[in-house]
Amino acid sequence: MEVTSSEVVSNRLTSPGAGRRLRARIGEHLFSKWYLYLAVLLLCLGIGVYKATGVQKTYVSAGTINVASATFLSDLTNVNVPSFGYQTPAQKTANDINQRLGTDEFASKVAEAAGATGATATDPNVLAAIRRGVLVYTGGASIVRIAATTGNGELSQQLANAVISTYTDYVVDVETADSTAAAAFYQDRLKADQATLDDAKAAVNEFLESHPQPAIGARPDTEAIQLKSLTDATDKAQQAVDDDNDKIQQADLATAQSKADINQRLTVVDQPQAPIAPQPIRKDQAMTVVIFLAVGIIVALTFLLVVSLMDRTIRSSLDLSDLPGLSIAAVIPALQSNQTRVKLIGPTIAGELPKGQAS
Amino acid sequence: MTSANAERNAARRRSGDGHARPLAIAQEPAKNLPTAEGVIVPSPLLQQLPRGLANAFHRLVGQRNVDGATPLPGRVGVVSSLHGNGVSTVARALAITLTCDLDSTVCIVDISKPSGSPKGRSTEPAIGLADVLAGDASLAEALHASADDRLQMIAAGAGDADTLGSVLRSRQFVAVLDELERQFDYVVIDAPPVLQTPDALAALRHVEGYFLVARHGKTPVDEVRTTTSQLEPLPCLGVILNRYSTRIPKRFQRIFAP
Repeated sequence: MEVTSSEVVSNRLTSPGAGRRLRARIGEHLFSKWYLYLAVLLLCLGIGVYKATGVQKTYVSAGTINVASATFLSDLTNVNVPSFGYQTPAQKTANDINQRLGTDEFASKVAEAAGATGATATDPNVLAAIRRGVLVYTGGASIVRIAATTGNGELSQQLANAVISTYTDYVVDVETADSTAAAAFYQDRLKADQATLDDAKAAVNEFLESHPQPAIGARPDTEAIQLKSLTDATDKAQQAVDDDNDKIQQADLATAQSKADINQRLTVVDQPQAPIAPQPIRKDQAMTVVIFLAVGIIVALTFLLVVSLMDRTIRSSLDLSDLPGLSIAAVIPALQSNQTRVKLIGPTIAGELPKGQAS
Repeated sequence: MTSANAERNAARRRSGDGHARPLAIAQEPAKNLPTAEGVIVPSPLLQQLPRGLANAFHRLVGQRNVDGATPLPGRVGVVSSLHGNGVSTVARALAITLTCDLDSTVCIVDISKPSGSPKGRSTEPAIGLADVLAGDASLAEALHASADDRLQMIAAGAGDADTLGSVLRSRQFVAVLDELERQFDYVVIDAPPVLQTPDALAALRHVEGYFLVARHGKTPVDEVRTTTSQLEPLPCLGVILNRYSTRIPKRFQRIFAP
């Protein structure tokens, strides 16, 4: 019956004396092929050193914003206050910024706000660099810190500012979307109603020019009725225009209230400053080397373990434990090269011990 | 010497204990061993054995030669799974040790390779088993003495692998083995590798037990399993682990010892 490698390994791990046998094989392979494992270790260490020397100086600029759950203005008005659920305002805001940064649209706006123009603002590499370089985290229930890391101090400051301003704009856009849409709607209606009013007024003027007031006495009844009808239409159109203007004012007021509320809820406590010195890199370099060294050790040990498990050769009597009735009768040590050159005395069996130990 | 050996063999077998006389060299020096002022000089064959090799076989033969232990049979095969495990070295070291430690007469039947094969040893005697079976030479002519006349050898003889195979399958080969067993205390057959040539099975049918030579760190367990299963029901007298070496430093050997 064909025995697969996995079955062999499984048998080796479960058979009696498997631990001692594996330990012995590990020892043999470790000390006989030590240079292989050392090479793996040195290779990983070399990669780690190479990576560590490539660690660039970075500049970090961080800004802090305070996130309030409600404002006095929101208490006075009927401005919608966002729901934070079981999260603190800071957690909700930090999560929101991180999620927004995952979208290309938001990241592109951040790039534009940071100074990128044209195709650069939508370059995937630039967007990826922004996502890598921006770290948003909470500093309490209402404090959110936004740190930007780049290879340039000013750029870090611009990036941190860009994230804050873009997020604020985003919140304003979202929360004033309804009122802005309403204002636009009534603006359109106002144009139509104004046209109606203008037409009505023109009709009244035309009628008055064609039917002037008599010098003596009142207008005839038919004219009076006709004029009243035109005047009523004018009044009705004027009423519609006034309503439109009123709605537009209400929408603009709601927008202004929302903006004021957002500006109070999201206040920049610390503006991002341009860093004057780069971040210390020795720790990063040391960490890189240590990580690669650990990886090298793990790879070498795994390699050693696999080689030991796959080794199916006979090395001791334990290896014959799976073969009932067999035992080691004698163990012949490997001979030195000068010992194997034995010339037996005798005329006819000369050279019967071969030069090596092989037949 | 031939008749004396035959009588001694017969006596040994009649006695039933199967044990040869231990340490015969110390008690009764062989007649061809040189002595100087009463000091017994060990066999020159034994002197030429490397210490590690000699010690391993002193131990093996000694363990088999104590009361209660199963003695070595008269016809012993030495075999391996594949070429390169050191079967010939082991067979000859076993024969030398049997000769010297037990003061026995031993004949090595070297059929591991035909003399005419490319791998055949150029130093081997020209007349061999094939010549005896072909009637071209007598058994006495094919037997070649060593530096110690208690140890003799018969080679495969001229011919290729096919010739050797037909020799090993012939009835005359059995008759020659029987004759050798009558003349010598032990007949050690240096057999070809079991998994590479079918000749080994033909040769080993006529032995009473065999040693399986495995190379430390080279011979897989599966090869040993296959070899022993092919040689069943012939009893395996033990596995001889050849070329044992460890690179584990002494200070770590307690940790990694099997």
